[in-house]
Amino acid sequence: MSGWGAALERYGLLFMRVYLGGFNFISGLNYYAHLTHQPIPADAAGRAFMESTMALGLFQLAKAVELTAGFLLLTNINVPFALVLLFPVTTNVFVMNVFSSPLLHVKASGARNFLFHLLLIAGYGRYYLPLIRPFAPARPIWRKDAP
Amino acid sequence: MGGLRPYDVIPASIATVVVIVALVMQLRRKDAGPLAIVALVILWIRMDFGAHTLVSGADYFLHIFPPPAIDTSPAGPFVREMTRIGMYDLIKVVEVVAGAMIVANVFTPLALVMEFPITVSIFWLSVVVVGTGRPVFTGWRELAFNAVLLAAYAGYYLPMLDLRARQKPLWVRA
Repeated sequence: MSGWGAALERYGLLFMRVYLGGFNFISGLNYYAHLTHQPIPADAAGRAFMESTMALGLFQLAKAVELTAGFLLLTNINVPFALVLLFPVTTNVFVMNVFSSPLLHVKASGARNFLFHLLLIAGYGRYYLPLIRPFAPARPIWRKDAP
Repeated sequence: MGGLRPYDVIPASIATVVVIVALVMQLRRKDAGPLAIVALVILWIRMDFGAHTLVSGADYFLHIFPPPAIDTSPAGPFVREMTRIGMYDLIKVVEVVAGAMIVANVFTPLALVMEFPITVSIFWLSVVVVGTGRPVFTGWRELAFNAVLLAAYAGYYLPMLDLRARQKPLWVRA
């Protein structure tokens, strides 16, 4: 890869990691620290879904995941794990924002974060390659030859 | 805990048959060493968990068995709203795909990770939200089986747990 290509790859992935990490960290922190008002979906279906998750405690759990994974991404600690941890939340937000919200900027936000997340997974993709081994025999944590 | 349901009986039956076949094959091998009890237990759990996930996902689309009485459950409104925005369909697709992968032992480590968020949700709704009767058993079983299998395939996750991981793009050769 040329010098420009390598720089684009490196700093592009860095930008997306910090952006996605910062976005989720602030989103999670805001819920617990009440920095600003909690965004509420503009559509009735999205609002009802959010209220049902809040009533069951799942929204609070998702915010804790955002806070933790966002912090890990921002500080570059255990990034491949953080991306896996955050993926269900990103997917949920993507489905809600893109297919349910009537607001264009909300649709764009959900799509952008999902795209950044996918690109970051590809950017750290070699850490996940052992997971896609067909017919993998068990490698238990309690066995010394596990790795 | 209530009576046995197809979601429980079918996966357990499949798992038991597979383990019996594996056991017979193990005993018939001339160079058979000591009986690999732990491996057979892991095989049973993998088949039961995978088949349960597959049956649960497939039944949502095929309507083979009577649906669970979700309307009377405290989790009912959540499931209803999830269905309305299309999230429940996506979850059931993941269940079908991950369940089939686990049963067929194709990319099992990946399938276990794919299924884990669903497992946590089931555990949360069954044990924390409902908290009584049969769902408590179902929730704990789901979490225990997924956790045991993640531990059984832990060797594949170790590279992913690198604290100071650097970029390693798929498009760059190692």
